[in-house]
Amino acid sequence: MNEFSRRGFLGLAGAAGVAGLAACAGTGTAPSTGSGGGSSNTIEFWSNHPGNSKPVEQQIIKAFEVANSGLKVKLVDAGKNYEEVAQKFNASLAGGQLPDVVVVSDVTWFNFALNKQLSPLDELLSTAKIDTSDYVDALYNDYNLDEKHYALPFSRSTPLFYYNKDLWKAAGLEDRGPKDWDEFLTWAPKLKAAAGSDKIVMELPDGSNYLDWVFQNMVWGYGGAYSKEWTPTFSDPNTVEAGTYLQNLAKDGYLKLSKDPAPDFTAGIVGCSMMSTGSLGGVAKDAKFPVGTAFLPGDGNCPTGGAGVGVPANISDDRKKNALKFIEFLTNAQNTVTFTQATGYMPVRKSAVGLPEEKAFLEKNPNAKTAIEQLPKTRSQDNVRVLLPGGGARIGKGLDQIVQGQDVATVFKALDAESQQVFDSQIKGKLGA
Amino acid sequence: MSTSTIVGTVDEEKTPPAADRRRRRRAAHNVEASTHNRGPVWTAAGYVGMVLVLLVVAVPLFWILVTSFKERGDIYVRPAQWWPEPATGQNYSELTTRIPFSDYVRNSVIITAATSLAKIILGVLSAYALSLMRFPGRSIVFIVVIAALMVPNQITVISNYALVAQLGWRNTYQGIIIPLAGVAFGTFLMRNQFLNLPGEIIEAARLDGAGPMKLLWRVVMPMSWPTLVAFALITVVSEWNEYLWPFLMSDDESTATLPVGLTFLQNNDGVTNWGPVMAGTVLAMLPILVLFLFLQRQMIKGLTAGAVKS
Amino acid sequence: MATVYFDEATRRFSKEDAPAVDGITLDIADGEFLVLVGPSGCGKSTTLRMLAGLEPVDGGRILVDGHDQKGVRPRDRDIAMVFQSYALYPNMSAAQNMAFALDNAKVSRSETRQRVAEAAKILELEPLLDRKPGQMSGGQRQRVAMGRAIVRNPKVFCMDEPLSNLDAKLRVSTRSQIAGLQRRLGITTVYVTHDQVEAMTMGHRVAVLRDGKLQQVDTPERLYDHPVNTFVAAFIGSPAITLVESDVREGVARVHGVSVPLDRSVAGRAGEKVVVGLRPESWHVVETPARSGAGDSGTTALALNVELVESLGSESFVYGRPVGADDDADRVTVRLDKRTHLAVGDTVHVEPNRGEVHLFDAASGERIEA
Repeated sequence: MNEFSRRGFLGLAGAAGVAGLAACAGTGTAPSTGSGGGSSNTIEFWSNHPGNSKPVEQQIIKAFEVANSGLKVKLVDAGKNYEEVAQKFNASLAGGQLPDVVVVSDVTWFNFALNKQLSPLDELLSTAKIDTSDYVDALYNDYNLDEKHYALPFSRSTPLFYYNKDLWKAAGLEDRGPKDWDEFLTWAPKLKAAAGSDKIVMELPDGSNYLDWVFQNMVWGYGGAYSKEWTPTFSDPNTVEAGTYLQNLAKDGYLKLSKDPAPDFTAGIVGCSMMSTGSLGGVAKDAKFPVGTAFLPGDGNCPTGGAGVGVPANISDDRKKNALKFIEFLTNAQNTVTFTQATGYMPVRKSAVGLPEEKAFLEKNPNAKTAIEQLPKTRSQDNVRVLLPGGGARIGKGLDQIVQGQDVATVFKALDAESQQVFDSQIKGKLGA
Repeated sequence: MSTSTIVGTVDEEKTPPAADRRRRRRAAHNVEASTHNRGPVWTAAGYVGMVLVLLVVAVPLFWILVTSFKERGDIYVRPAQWWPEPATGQNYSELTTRIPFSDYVRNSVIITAATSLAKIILGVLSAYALSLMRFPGRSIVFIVVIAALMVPNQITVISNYALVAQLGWRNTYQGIIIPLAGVAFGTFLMRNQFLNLPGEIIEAARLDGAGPMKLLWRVVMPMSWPTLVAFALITVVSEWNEYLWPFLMSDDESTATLPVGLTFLQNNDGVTNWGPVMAGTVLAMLPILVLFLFLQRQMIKGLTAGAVKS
Repeated sequence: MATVYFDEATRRFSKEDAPAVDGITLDIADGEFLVLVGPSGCGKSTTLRMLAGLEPVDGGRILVDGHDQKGVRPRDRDIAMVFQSYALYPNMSAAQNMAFALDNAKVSRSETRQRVAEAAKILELEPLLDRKPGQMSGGQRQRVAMGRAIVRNPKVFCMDEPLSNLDAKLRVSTRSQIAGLQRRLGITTVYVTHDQVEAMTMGHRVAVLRDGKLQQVDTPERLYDHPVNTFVAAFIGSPAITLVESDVREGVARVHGVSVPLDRSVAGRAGEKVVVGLRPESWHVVETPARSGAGDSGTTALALNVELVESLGSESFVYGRPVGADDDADRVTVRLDKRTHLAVGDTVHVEPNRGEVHLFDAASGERIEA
């Protein structure tokens, strides 16, 4: 249908029609206080089962129900990805019947926290005498707003440097990842020569598919950042230098962007990539060549990612207490090991690595070990990407433009202005309120 | 009184016998064909165009089918495999073990059937009232209905959710079915169909003493089957593929439909094993494909109804 | 069997426009065949549809058998209608089409079958009973439409130009069939047509409408011989009457400079200007134009320049303009018998027949009657 005429009609008939419809549909008054639907001894857990984790989630739930008789956990299929869970949670916020525990990603949690739709957990944690110091610090502090924590880490991932060992060998390179991006630049011509014309040295996800996530590593590697706290720093010379580096990689024909680099890498068309640890299991299983993994180039430059679990604000205290009990169980050392071994995510507890079954697992899976060992070198992401509404998409779009050859300084200057404006209009007023 | 008449030239044309008519039609067709005949180059170009369109439509479907029979490692290889080698039914068995596939099918069938039926009945009845019955406020009701058509359902989803949640209908069939049974499109389509029917036939039926339901059933509907079939098919396909609302309403396989269920085959954060996804897609397409082949003739007639006035 | 009475019946489609049907009063006797005729847009179809209940009556009343039909639904009026398009149900066979109304009226199956068979016999539809409308010719469909009306044995038949979709030859034969059928069944019939030949040949009486107003209701003969105004005079008769505006002086009208003496009784009522109407057959040819008397009384014969000749075999019609007249002068139509042969470009002298002159008031167009 023609967009214009549709809008035109909306303008005319809309006033009466839309109002009438809205009235018919009846938003009603959601039972926002009190119980918010649900019952106090059934814990509703809304999850998208990250990393195909439904069976292991069920396994943990069963163990929880055995340990806590009288409590039941209902596992709800809440979406195919984090955005869909957020969408469904949003709908329930309007309509009542809130879940008790909900999966929130590094990008989606903040808006819920800011609008007081998630409970701050600190008080509940201290009442329940749960020791938070065992959570990996970078992961735990990802959910910090105004010195309060709104979620606990659950299915956490980081990017890894994946490389094709056969190609590395053909190019005469050592069997390791690059120390930093400058070193990679010296490797790139060799890799290209070894790969041949129909293969690509490096493939990264495009701007619609989290290039902005992995690119943080390059930015930090050159001493730049997307932002310092809430101040955007795209125009910082170091940030611009990183942008220029990315642009040159593309210009020189070493870099290609795609919707999902995993299939190309697995098919052996691509020499190396930066992808989530979550892809580890799949890539290793599908690839017909030896897969190598390494830390991201640089030191302490690895962004965190993935999701945590939170508790809605408008449910009864009893429900919150039970919810927290379940969250603690879900993310304790034993269960985080069970969960991460089944999925490829990171253990979120420091003590997890010391458990014998984890030790044995890492022994057998050296690539998984890379990810764990990288964990202490992770760094919480910059605010303007994860906390500003639409931040990731905005930066991703800018990066796409840079790769296509637009002037880096200009694009980043525009990003500065846009980010600042979004912050001023949507966040500033709510902070510390 | 003058009885003289000026009759003009007397036209000899009577109803031509069938054979004669056929011959004439063929002759007319030949004339038409010859004007379209622009030599072998254009004919070849026409076929090339057809083949291109066929490829654009068929290749993805073929790829889905082939991939559903491939082993996992054969999916991502260069050069691409155009035939599963070796072929395996593994993906199909994995499909039924990894997700409760038969539950999703059952839910999809129940929800699609109920919703489509409700939509068709409501659509026909409301269109009938809005086109052939006279009552005060008719045009206002119609404008409201059309306005509903203009509002994308993403907008009404939240308020519908609130209503259904308050009724305690989340994760129930009725919670999914009833809000979907709204029929602006069907009302609009069928109303236009009814308005395009020759008014004199409706009047003739009224004079012949047909009551409202008899008028609808014996006179109006028989003239509207092609449009109704097309509408029904479109409805069934869109209900079968409906995602957003069933996803929001359902919590688990007791009510979730196929499109929702199939997404759980895809990995959220990592590498998806596409084999079972393709197998699920193939199985999800089958019922609609069968239905389409079954109703195809009427459907095509419906889409071109009114193009040629008999 | 019923009488129909239109009492000041009026139909207004919108408030601003003139009424489509404007205060028509019409008394139709039981068993009468009444034809409503007029140019398109005159309101004749609307009048018929008001009777059938398909249009509301905005003013006045329509009575059937003395009962006001206001608020009576079409299906309760017991009126059968034959539409111009026939409006057959395309999904039903001819037999089913005819049985539909009886079926709705809960007539028993055996009686239905019998009545359909009877109608089929009358209309020679027997071999077609199982065919659907799409498999029939126009004439066959028309007969099924008739049959659908007949089987109901209604109080009134309404027919809305039922012949206009037939070819000319079939139209003529069906015309007499319908008239004969109506005589045989004796059902009150209101028949709408724009074709005055149809009106004249079929109706017991003919009602002429113009702009929603009833002009004249009369037998065909009266309409032809005594049209009440110039409109009726011009509308009825083919070829049309020749109407010429003339001065009247001393009981003599001058038509294109030719003196036409008027009856004394009529001349007294005429003003200074009249419209003289002369039918084609109201002229005769004079071989040598005689001058009548002298000076201002002028000639009695009109010299025509022949512009068109329509020869029908038994007779012919000559269209011509008075010699010496302007191009925009009205043409005169004259009927000639077959012995007189004329060609385009000839000049012919004609004289009006005495006593066959129609006289109308020039201002109002009303007939000036003796």
